[in-house]
Amino acid sequence: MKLIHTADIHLDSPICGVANPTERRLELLGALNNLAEYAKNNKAEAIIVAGDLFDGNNTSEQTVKSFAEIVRNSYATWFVLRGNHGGSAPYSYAEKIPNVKFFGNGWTPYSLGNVTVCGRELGADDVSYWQQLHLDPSRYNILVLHGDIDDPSYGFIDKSAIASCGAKYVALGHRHAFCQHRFGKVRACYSGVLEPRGFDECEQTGFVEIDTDSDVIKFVPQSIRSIVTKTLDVSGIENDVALERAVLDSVADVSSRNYLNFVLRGELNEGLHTVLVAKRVLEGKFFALRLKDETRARLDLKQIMQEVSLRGEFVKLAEAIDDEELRSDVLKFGLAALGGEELL
Amino acid sequence: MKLVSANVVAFGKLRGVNVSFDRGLNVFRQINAYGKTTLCNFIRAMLYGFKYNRVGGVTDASHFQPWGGNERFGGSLTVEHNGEIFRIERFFGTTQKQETLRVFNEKTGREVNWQAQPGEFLLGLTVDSYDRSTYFPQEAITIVSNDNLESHLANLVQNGTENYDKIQEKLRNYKKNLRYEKGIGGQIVKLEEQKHILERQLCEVKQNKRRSAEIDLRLEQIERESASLELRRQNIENSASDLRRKIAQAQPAAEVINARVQLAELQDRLAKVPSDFEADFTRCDNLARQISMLPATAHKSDTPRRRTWLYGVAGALGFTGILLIVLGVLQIVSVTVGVAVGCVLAALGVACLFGVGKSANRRDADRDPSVASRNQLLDEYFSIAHKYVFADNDIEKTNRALWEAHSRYLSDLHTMETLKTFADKPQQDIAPMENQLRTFSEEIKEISEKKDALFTERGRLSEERRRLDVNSVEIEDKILNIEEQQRRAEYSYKVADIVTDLLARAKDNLSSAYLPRLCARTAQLLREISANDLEVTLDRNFVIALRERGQTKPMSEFSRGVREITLLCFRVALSELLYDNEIPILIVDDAFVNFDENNFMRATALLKKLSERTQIIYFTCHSRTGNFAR
Repeated sequence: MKLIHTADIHLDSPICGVANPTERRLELLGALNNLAEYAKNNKAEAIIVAGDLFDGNNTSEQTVKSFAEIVRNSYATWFVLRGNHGGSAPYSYAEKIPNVKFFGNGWTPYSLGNVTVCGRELGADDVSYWQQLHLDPSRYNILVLHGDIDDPSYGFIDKSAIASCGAKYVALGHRHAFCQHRFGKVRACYSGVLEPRGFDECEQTGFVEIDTDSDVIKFVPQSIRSIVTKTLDVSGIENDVALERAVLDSVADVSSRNYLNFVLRGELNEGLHTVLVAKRVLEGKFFALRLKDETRARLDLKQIMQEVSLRGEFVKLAEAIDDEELRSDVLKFGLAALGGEELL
Repeated sequence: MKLVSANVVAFGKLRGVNVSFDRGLNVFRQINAYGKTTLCNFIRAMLYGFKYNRVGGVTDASHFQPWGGNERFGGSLTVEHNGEIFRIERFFGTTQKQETLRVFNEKTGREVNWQAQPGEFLLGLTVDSYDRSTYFPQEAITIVSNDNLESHLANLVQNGTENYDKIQEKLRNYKKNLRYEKGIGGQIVKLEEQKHILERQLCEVKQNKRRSAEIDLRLEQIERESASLELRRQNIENSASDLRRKIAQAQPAAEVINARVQLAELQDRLAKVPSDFEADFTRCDNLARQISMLPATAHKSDTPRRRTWLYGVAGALGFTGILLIVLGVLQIVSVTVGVAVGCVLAALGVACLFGVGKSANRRDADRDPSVASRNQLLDEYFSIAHKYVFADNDIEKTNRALWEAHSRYLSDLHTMETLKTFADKPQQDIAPMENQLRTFSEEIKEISEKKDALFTERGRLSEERRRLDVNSVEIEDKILNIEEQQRRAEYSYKVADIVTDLLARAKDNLSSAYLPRLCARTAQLLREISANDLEVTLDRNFVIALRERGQTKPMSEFSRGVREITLLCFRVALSELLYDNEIPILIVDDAFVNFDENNFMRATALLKKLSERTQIIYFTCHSRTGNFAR
């Protein structure tokens, strides 16, 4: 039997910094639909959503209806954990959809052939609930939980209890990047998000497919849009025109439909307008753009510190800042001010 | 470091110039426009090169490109440093790429690589520090002498292009754009306001959602009410239809009305029939049967012939009478006679006819009793029959006609009974039904009005619902975007704030580290070269004040001569501080040109004293030598 594990879809969540947030929200639904299609084409009998299907009580009726339509067309049984987002409003409608099963605040087992899918909602006060878990070791047991394995804020996930609970696989939700864990002989995965919404989410998105017959668990990449990170070393670039060309060359292979995370690095020649040029060249050309300036001025700070000058004293003081990023920005900004450059 | 010689191949207006320098005092007296300042710049360019940034469309290098040619320009500078002799060969072009720099150790003849500008390697100073300490330009002294002393003094240890106050002003403006220090304003505040507006909108949208839920509820209620009203209307319509059918059934149809007309006609006709028709018919029928059983007359064969004759006479008389009347009328004969005779003859004819009949019957009766009886029967028969039919005195025809009349009578009676059953149905009272129908109509009208009201309410609520149906997540997107902008603006403000603070602290550090020494050394130099026993004070902005006889006064209150010599001492003191008392070289480009004789003497005395351990290169176009000549 095949099952699909996904989580943290956050339908109807607010999205910032993209060209069209509404379109992106529709694409989240589209990604879920693609997952359902995959399940249908690969004869997966169940789809496990390990929390945060919806983002909040503001989820529109239209979105919940669209979810219902996806479920109706999928023919699979959906096992849904609410998680720590979503409120109650969207789920009250979703509960009416026939082939959707929800987990309760206590362990809620469902049988599907020789597979038992057992999950429960977690709360910050949930600590000793593992004692109530009793699994039949002759069955293929899948646990479904939403929380952080290292942070008990959303409920304590006891790794040692998992290791000895008799489960074959733990479908986890809450972390937005795919990652695999092993607790004793028990395998566990955070499926990550289906689609990235912002730059803080991982570059590789998709879901997990579990084949209980062959006991194979694999990550299936899927994305409508991706986050692409490009780094440009500006060392050796002497003027803004050359910089513009270099920026364009570095993003030539990036589709305009993707999120572009553009990082400028290296030693900066004096007078080069890195951020301005990169912004002018890249802005509006991608679905979302993040510019990070990690360049440092081509200056011998040690020598400047020896100067008997305001600049020397300033650099000495700035070098004492602990935060590296802040120190770099303060030095860049201060030296630009001392150098008579326009402050941007 | 000491300069040994300079070989200018081409630099500005200088071409093929070779100059040698002594270790101590070097005075170059040349006429105006010889190129003294150019030579100073040549030394500087050999040590530090040029900046190729375009300022106002030209680079520093392009100022010294020889006139009328694009060839490379430059030369060499030979220096002595730590007992070694180095030759710096440097040529410039229009771009940095065209510039070449080579440094040779003259003793070994090998090229050396210092990985830095020769000036930085030899003097340990950046070009900015060199400009502030080693090079005494004519303009700076002139400006300092005449204009804002304090700001330019402060510039000596500050950035070469912008002073501290300007930088702080710029930073203040930058921060002000982000957030006002006093009052409310700036990008961050605007973003905060926008965020508050959006949050209010979000709050409204959330409240609207409650209202939307109420509206949805009411709309559902309206749908139910409408459906209920529609059902009620249909029921009433059905009832009304039934009622209308009943009323229609209760009202006489056209056939019934026709039947009634027919009935009336029939009754009229039957009313004309004597009431004893049935008895008369029976009597006639009996008489006819009796008559038929009696024998006809014995002389039946003569009688018709005699009668025919009599009828002929009667006819002739009648005809003649009528003819006479016609002729009388036509006045062919006398009218009176004609009409009178005609009438008489006609009357005779009629009398003959009547008499013939009577006499014949009488004769028949007289001849046979059965005939008489028969005649009596016939008379009786005809007297009865002729009440109903008239068919001559032919008993057969009359009897046939009577039968027909009787049959018709019976048929009429039957038809009348039939029509009576059809037309005389009891008349129902439709008024209550019509009243009910009116009630139904009023109810339907009332329902229609209610439905119209519900329809209007539904339209209004749907419109309101549509207006309220703003997606809150779109507002949340905007809030997130604004928060992101706020974060960036706050960070920029923080960086600018830190820089402002660090610059202030840097200035404090700089001042606190060197001010006491600088003050003391400036005062010492002043005492050495002049008789004035002045105390020098400097604030953190390098604003110089002089303390004389226990009273501190700003420089502006002293004479120009005191100001000029004080500034020179300050600058030398600063250079000593910068070079840790070992000033390697001072290049003075006619810096004392505006000094009066006393100050010139003092200045030259100071430089001469300095030349004992410092190489002094003094360019001037004037003949006065002051203490240099001594």
